[in-house]
Amino acid sequence: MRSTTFAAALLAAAALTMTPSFAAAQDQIEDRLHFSGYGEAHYNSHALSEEGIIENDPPAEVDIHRFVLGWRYDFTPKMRMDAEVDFEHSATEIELEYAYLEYDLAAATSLRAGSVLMPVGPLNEFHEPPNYYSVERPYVEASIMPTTWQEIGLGLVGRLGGALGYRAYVVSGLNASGFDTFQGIREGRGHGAEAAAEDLAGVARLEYATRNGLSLGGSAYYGGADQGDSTLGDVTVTILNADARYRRSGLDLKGVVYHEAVGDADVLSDALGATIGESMLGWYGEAAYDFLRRDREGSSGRALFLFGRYERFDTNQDVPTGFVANPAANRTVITGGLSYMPVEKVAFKADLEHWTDDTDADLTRFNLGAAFQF
Amino acid sequence: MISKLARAAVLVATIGSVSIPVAEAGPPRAAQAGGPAAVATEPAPFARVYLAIKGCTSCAHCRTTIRQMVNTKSAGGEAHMSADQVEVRYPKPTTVPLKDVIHSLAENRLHDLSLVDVLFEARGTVVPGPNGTATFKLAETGQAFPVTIDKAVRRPTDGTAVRLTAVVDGWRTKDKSALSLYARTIETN
Repeated sequence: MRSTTFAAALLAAAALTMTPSFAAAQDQIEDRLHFSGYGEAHYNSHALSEEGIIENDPPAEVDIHRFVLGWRYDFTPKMRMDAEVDFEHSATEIELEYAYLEYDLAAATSLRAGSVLMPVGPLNEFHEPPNYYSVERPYVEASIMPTTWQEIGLGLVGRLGGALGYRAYVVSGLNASGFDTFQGIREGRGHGAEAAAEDLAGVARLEYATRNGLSLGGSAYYGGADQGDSTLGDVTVTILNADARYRRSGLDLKGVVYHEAVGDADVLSDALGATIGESMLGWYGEAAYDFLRRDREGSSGRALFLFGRYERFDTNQDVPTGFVANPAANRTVITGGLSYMPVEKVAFKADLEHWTDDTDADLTRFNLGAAFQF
Repeated sequence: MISKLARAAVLVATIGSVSIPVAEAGPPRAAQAGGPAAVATEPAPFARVYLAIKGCTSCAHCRTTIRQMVNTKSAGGEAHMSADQVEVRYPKPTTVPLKDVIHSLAENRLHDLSLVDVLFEARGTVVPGPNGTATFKLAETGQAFPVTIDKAVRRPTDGTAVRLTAVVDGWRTKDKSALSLYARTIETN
């Protein structure tokens, strides 16, 4: 999927559709400008390696992992800007989490243009730390689904009836020169920072929710990833995801699976000097129960979740002919712990992780975390 | 009645806390709209529905979803969102689909979102009925709602054009067909 007219199409579409209405121009600035944010601090009894693999007796670590500030400005009732800036690791890494213009084309259809979060899986767009129970995000959603993942693009966000929601974008493609044996496609993300746009991608997600607490989701991504570098091959990436969640009476059950296929992985592996998986697979199942039952009418708003999660992920599930799968890429993580929420958007967390891989290496570590969102 | 007034107080406090700028704390937005404290450059719209919500409005995707759910049922009303309320404005006289707007959030399927209370504000007249009952008729549309007016609220003379701000009741019951209003303020033009 290539296009040299991508930027022109993006601007033309924006210009054609964003006819401004000045009906609300009399609003006060404080009615138009809104702030949001979230953050989390971590203690890990053993730090993980950059590659997300098991190492011998890594040292303990503390980290202000994320501190994020967000702004929204309503130009008119139908047009707005939304953006977040992430100051990671005590602001030593700064990243534009997303920044887009949104225009309501119809009551339940909006156009988005700019840096958008990829609508793949349940976590990437809803990644605020009070939304998950563990101190760290599920590792499947780091090594297989590279959260937080944003690309520059254009697309539609909407609802079909009361129960079905969708997002569909055309975005800049991944850059395969960053693909890795253990982190898969993670370092191929463009971040919207002078990112290569020779290759484009299409991505879409559907979500369906019932009244009894069941929600179902499915996502698909397909795009080129060699960005015109013929030495990498004609690289394509296909991602499929399905997820289900059931929340009722204090119980929270969740299952998530991601599958990725990399086209021309043999040429790419040769070029990079690393074994890039032709297919990668990650999944997890999680169960949690709120002993304080915040969901009850008249509850104080407090919650105490006990949770457990089992996840497996392999970035070398299938490798090209002539290459050998790295057994350290096939990992299993079992996590269990507590998340106490004194109010709805503040969480204090403690959990224990046990890692193993196909080399029979293992690691057990203890984590503490504090997180907020507003 | 006490519980109704208590709910009204909670709702007004909620709306007030959201809309009051830090630098110039003053009356809640509902009072500013058409009362003596109104901002001269911002004429109050014909009608407004305030939906006080609890739950996830922090992330952009939830805000878009909430806005779209309301827009779908508001029949042309303009949805404005803040941290814990959605305000639906009707700039010009029109029939307000109050029940549909309320149900767009009262019966939503988002796990972390619940509708807490509803306030309705509009131009119209109060028409007295038998046994102390009254009806609020919206100006120019003929749309009417039964309204309860407490003794503490000044009741206008029949036919006087007013701006009514009222708590909406009846949407929590299984029989959602009959909405009614409990007047909080009645201001004459």
